[in-house]
Amino acid sequence: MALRLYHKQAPPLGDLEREVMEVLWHDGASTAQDIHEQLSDARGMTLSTVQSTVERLSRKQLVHREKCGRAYRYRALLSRQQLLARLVAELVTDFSSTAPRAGVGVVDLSAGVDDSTLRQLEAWVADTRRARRLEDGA
Amino acid sequence: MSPLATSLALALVLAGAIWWLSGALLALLYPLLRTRITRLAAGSRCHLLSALAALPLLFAVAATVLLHLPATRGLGVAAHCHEGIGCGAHAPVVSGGALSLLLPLLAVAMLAAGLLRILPPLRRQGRRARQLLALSQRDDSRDCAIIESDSVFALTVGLLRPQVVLSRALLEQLEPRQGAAVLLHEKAHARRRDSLRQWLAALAAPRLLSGAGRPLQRDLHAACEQACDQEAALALGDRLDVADALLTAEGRLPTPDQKAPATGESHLHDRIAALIAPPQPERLPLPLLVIGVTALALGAALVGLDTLHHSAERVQEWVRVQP
Repeated sequence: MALRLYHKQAPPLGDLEREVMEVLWHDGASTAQDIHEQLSDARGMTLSTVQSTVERLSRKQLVHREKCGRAYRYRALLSRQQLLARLVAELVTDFSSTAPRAGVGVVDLSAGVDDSTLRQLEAWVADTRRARRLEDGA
Repeated sequence: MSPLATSLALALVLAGAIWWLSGALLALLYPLLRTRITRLAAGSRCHLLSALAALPLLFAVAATVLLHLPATRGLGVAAHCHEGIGCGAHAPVVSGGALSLLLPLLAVAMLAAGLLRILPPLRRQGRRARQLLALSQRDDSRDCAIIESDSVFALTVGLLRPQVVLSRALLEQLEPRQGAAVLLHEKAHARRRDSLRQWLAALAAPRLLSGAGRPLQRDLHAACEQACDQEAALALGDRLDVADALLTAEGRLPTPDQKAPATGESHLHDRIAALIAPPQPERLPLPLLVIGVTALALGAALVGLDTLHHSAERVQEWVRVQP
């Protein structure tokens, strides 16, 4: 597959899973207790909800867990940028397929215009602009 | 199987067959129409291509309804008689036997194939779009979502409530006027519901025609892009600024490794050419096209009603006499 950097599909994230990932991206490796402290005020959730959420993220291979004393510490395996890059790549692939697509992009990310064509088009626009300025001046 | 279920199944299978055949006819005729259509202004071309894409489905629905509705089934069908139902106006007759079992099975298979074609991609793309929007930040001043990303991209996602998503890199790497051009282009997509339009056009194309309907789909996609370029140029006041923005955005795209698989269907040259050329007047308003295409579908269905009716009955007769 041509998408070498984004060879894995971005797994679906629920609201709670996304919030946990946001904590891990912001604070780095954390225990479920740490994450709970960050989220409990805003969401009023229990520690066991947080624990099951990070376990789910671990199964989705979005976080790595390592034993730290009696608890596990969780670390995000994908940065926010990497996850976004996967999502965008998948959407672009969806949009460029012949199947029904639910979006469009300003430039066709899948079309592959080569550099020399691009330079020729830029020169064409620059020449036109110059010619129009000359006409306006005259 | 009850007579009503058999009749419904027959209607569905008939509609599917008419849809497929008229789609094949359109795919055959489209290359002949293409040269004239590509001369139209982008907005008009976009409307006309959307209408053409919908025509086979509209025709199939119109013909099937006219064939089966009690009030209209006598229209356009020459009087003829059948054993058991006499010589009055009638819908195509299902002659019983294996056909009354086969038809519902075929109808269910067609429905299942249709749903499988629509629902999984829609669900998958919707999930990805929701996830992308959830990870973005709302920029109220620009009325769009901003993604903190190093890659240059601009997307309009969603069918019914399309939303514009820009990457931070796009705003940082493009000149402000170029960024404004990209934003105006995407907002034009959102306002015109281009995602929905292209989605419906892709759905309306019969599936079994492998690749035959693609030229129309590709031209529709190109026309939508050009129409949005024109709207952005009009709002910005300079057509060449939009051309510059397109070329700069294209030049800042991710490296080939990071791109989606190349399809070799770039419309960039045509888009730049259209922006360099003087604007063309739009001559085909959408309401006129909707009325025209509906009238064409109904008219063609009425004209072909007798042929359709007897063809359906002949096919059934043929199936019935098979060993």
